Amino acid sequence: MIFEKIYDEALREMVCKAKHPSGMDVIVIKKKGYSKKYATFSTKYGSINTDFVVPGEGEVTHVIDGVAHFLEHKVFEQPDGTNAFERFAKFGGNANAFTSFGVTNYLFSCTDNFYENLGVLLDYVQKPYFTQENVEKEKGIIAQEVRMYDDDPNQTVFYNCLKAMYKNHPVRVEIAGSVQEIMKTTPELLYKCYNTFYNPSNMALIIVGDVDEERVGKMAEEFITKSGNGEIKQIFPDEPKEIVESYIEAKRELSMPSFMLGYKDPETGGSGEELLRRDITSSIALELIAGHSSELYKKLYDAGDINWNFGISYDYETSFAFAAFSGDSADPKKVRDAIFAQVRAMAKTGVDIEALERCKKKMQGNMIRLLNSVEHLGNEYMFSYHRDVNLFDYPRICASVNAEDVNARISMLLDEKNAALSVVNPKG
Amino acid sequence: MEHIEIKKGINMYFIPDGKFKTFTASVLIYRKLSRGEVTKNSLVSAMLDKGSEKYADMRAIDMKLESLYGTNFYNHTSRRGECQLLRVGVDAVADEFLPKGENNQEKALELLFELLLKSAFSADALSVEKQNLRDAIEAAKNDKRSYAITRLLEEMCKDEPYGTNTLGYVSDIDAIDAPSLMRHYRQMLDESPIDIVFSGNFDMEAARDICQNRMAQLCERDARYPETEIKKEVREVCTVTEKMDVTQGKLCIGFRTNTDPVGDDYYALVVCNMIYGGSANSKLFNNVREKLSLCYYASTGIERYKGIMTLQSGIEFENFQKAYDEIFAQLDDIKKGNVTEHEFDAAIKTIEGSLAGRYDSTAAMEDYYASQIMLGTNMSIEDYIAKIKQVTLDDVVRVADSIQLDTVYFMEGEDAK
Repeated sequence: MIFEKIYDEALREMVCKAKHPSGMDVIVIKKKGYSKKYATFSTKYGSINTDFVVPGEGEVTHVIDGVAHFLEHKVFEQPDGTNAFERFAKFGGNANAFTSFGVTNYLFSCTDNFYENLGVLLDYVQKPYFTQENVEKEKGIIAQEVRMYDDDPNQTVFYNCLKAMYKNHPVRVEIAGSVQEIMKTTPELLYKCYNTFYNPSNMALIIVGDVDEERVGKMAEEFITKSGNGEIKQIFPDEPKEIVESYIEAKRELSMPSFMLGYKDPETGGSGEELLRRDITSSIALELIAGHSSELYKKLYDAGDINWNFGISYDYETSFAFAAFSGDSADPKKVRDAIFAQVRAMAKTGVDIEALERCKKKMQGNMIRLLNSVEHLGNEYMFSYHRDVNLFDYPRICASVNAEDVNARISMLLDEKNAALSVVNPKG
Repeated sequence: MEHIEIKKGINMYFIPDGKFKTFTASVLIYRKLSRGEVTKNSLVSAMLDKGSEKYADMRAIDMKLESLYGTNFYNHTSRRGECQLLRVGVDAVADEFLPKGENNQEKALELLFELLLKSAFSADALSVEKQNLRDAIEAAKNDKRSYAITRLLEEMCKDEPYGTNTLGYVSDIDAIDAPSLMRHYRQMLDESPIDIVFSGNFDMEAARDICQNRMAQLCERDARYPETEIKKEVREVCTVTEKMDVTQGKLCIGFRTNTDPVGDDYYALVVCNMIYGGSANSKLFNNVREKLSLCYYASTGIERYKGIMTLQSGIEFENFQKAYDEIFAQLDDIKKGNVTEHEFDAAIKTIEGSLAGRYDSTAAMEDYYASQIMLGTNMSIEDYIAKIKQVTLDDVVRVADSIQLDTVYFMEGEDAK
């Protein structure tokens, strides 16, 4: 494996990239002087991949909800009944995993014994062991995890918003699935998904820390011997451009209503720079409308209509994208209407140039700050990687966004017709 | 770490590390945690970024922060034992990563001192923050998992300052007005010990100069930090059950460890806690969760200054007794010395890793050294790790034996029998 080395002068980061024979990328971001090393071994397989074509097959495979997450739990299981955490414990590795809409990520951080811990990571993720017994046992644990989320109004307001925006796309379904669905899980189902998605050509090894990339490369060659299995076609159901409903409500035990105003982005897809540019431009648009230093934020905050919890987000993969304003409010509809009014007003005047430049400065600063943390950097790089986006293009692209771009984005993304308000009200 | 005294009771500490691309500069003001002022402290904290002599309102401050490359201003209260801290500071990008002439460090620090020393509490802004605080106190009940811990501590320490709710009390809020709140804040600035801690990539000389200059206007004060009492005897175990709308029961247990925070036994306690419930390699994780599937989470934590260990677990209502019994069976095992070499080594390694990991975060370095400063120990991370490595199983058994059960709190669902 030959490592290509790219040094970013402005950010002072060294990225080393190599290709494994299977087609998998091995990336090492070198952080001299750091004590911690962070490694992620991730697969481009998440909760939205319920429909796919196995390489070499003709028809589409459809699976139940929650499999990617269930698999994440089960991959830790070892044939001798112990779990992978114990193998890391010997070397002081702090391991974990998570499943998102588009990826499943197995990770560890450590200060010593990096290569030993890396060996454990590369080994256990590639050795699945699913039996009737261990799958049954996991159902109990995951059911409790699902119930824990049931108590969380944040999960409810979020997924209801997705259900109001999306008719068919799997992003509308909880990542962990539902208790009824997960009860249908079988070892055979897990193996089928594992064998399809956990192929090295669909995975990436991304490491951040003071390590020797050549040694990492040799280990990747030694531990990963499967050959690539070809492209896995990801299938998504037809999704209308329109939202399902503009308002959805639920009741949970809370003291004040919680809300999420989601905007379904009519523009999705593309890759690399195009996606990153849309991401950055969208984030700037949202900030200028209702970010901390905006007129609207001050108005709503001073009136007590929003509080410290108010947040802005833009979430996407290639098959979907949505923006959201969320928080707590005694009158979520008032907040929604105020945001609608501000969007209309800004469509007339266009964005303020000074505010735009300040916002870009803030985003540049945030990008620099991100680089301090091996975990944060590793995760952001990993998410970007699976979207074919190069994280280090961020400063250049951010600097190039102009008022025209932001105005166009506001008009496309923040169209009232695309907006769904999800509210969770207090019981009683 | 470098230490410079500005005057009696006001000190600066510098923890430089050029590998970071940012720095944090925190001002720590120490108060005794007390029912009488806790609500005022929450409001003071909230008001510090809502206006000052130079900046009319929060928006003006936010605009300034953005223009300083997204400098973050943070203001919050926290506690170490029965000492409540007001922590106010800036997190800014280091000058070397920005265009020449930006002088970000200088500007960020100017802003910090402006907000700290020239704050202005307007009645309108205070009225908004009072409502926010009422809402926050109500909202704290929504995060059931952490509310259960709050309830445990309120019950366990009802006759001690530690049982004070650190957010504050709704009944205090109405009576607080801007002038009285400002008087309270000025009193804090006049009489409390104050530490300014810099961590990360910063110019030390420039930082020292600006701090000495701005803080010169404050007077000397008693340098002693507020103390915490570590209660010893548990007369009888208290059990509290409450019904709330939850689908999963929250079990929280409080123990008195009777361990001095600066003695050698403290390190044995850290190891004991890690073995018992401190990580995914702990006895609780492996037995209550993995082997018996009784819960999704089961963990323990220690509060160094108060000498308390808390256990928390999310369990199905009908599994309460089974989980409870297993939780205590695991602690008994430790008291009997039934700890495998693997369990022991894993604990040591995890602690070592988490300590060494602090080197990689400006905030973690500040937090570590601020703790050392308060305890009067100034021990390096390396030395702490060495103390941990000296701990033996006998030491762990000995401290486990002095861990006393004090209070059990269970939050069950309204439909539970």
